[in-house]
Amino acid sequence: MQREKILEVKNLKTFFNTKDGVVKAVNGVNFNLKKGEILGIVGESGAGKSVTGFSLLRLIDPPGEILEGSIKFKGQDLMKMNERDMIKIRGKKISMIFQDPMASLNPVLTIGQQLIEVLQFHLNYRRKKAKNRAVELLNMVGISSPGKRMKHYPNQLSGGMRQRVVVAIALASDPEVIIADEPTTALDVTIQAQIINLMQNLIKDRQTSLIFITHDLALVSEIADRILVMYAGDIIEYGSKGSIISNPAHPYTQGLINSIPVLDKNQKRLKQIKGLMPSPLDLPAGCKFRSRCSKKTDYCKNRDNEFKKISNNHYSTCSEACQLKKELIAGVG
Amino acid sequence: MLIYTGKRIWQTLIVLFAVSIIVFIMININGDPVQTLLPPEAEPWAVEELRETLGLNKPLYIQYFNFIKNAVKGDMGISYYQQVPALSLVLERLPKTMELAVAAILISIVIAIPAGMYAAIKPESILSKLIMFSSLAGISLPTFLSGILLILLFAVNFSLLPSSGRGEVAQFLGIHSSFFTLDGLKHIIMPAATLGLYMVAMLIRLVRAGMQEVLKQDYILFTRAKGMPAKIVYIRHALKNTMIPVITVIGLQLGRLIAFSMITEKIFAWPGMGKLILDSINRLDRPVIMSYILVIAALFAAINLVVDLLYYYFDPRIELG
Repeated sequence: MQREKILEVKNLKTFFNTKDGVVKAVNGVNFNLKKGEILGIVGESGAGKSVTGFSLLRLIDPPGEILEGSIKFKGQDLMKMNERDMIKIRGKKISMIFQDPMASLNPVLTIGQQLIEVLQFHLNYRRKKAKNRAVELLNMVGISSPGKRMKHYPNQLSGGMRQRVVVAIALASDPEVIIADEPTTALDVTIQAQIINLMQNLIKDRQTSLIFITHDLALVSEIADRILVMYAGDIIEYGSKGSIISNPAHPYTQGLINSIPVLDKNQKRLKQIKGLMPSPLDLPAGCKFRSRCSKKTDYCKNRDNEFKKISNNHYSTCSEACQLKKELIAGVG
Repeated sequence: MLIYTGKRIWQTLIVLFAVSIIVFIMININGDPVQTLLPPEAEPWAVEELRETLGLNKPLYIQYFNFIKNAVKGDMGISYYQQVPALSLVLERLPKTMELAVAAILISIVIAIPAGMYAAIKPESILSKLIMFSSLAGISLPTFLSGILLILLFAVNFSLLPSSGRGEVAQFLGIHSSFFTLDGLKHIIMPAATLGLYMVAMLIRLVRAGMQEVLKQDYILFTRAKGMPAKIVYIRHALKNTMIPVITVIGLQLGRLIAFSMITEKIFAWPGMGKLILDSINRLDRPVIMSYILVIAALFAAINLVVDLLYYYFDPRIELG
């Protein structure tokens, strides 16, 4: 059954005008998000994942600028909205979870104040009702004695607790889409698993869509329905989770998967992708991964960024991909 | 909090003690008051007699000991000139200077915080550039010049405001102040503006710098991602974080304004402590100088205590102790 498309992003371009030149952080990205779907966006640092996330909420400050593109949320183009309508989307319909829970809560306001203001502003709750709802939300994200915690300041909570509070804030107005930008990167592994489980359970009940931005392919392969792989401002491969993991088409995706350490294999060294991403100030024509690719041909110099179909629900920009798709990557399931 | 306050008051007493020793020694090297009290042709026996009545013939440490003995009882000695208790002379003038300083602080807060915030939020706008330019001018302009310019403009050219004196005073809740009458307010505006000008200029820069720093923080972006309107983002979230250094400076400046209001008081003939201390220094009126300095030191300490307690209000991460 085809589910309803909740977000349609077309040709999104976000550039930063710096002293040294124009940084093309997001360079014409297209994707859709369906209702209740978990979409993973994967890539290394500087690939444009976070900027994509912030662009969706139009939270790009100068010198950054969303140059062109459309972001259709349930048919409405967010790019054509004025700021006044936009704040009714942010936090209400589309909310966001940040990477560092230590930094994303205001140190001088209590947890309660930061949660209640969302309920008061977006849902027009009265103070009393907002307070009760806030306690409920804290309870829901697994914070013990939530009534007492309401009066606490962020510095009185551990990192994991704070991220739970951030999740509660993101869920407060019952949004349709949550953008989670590396929500567990700053946490240790056991807490990471708890937060991921919590988020999965909470959004499953509500049929909320989730955009999960991470550099951790192993993590995203556990939770996402579909995966987008970004490299130097472009989406280079996308498809269903199973297809991407078991049958990656782009040499970059293959490299990412190969670099995941495998426990039961006697591995002396981790396989890394050699080299660095090209400077965003000076992106090469053709395939941007070319300089690091072991399978490059002359054709890669001028090839376009058209997606080629690998299989049903699996597309890649790499033309080599069609021939490579049979190649199986050992050790990852 | 109570224990903390008690500890701070104890510390203040030690500071006052140290200040009193230093000041006592300093005014003793500063000249002989007897020579200014008596005409130059006075007989030697008259000089001796006066020294004896003032207690100046005894060794310095005895003089100091006597002074402290009386000071703990609240007696700071009799003014050599006016023949009234020195402390009451100072305390009588204190509210007038406080009034001026408080008015100056209020004016500067009301102007500087919104202006600084605006300059931080919209750094590229022409108004921001104007604000920053005039704040630079405000910092560079000396008090005596800005005071005289104000008088020239508002008293001489436009005849809008009176140029000197304190004006009508009314009583409200047991406090005599010129805040409560129109005439009093007219009299206080210009001296307060003169006294506060430097402070406005400095606070604008401080608020702007602090705010710019805060606006870069993740929690501000997160608040915006929560869909909060500008008012909540800038005032509730950003301003409260900006206030810590601002409060410190306001506190220190309040003390400074009270202690160094002499020039402004002189220009506008404001009957405050500044004029008193200038006259007393000229006459080597030691008890008045001592009282003045100890009162100012106690005031500084009290203001700093209030500032520290305010920190606690603005930033819960700070622990008193």
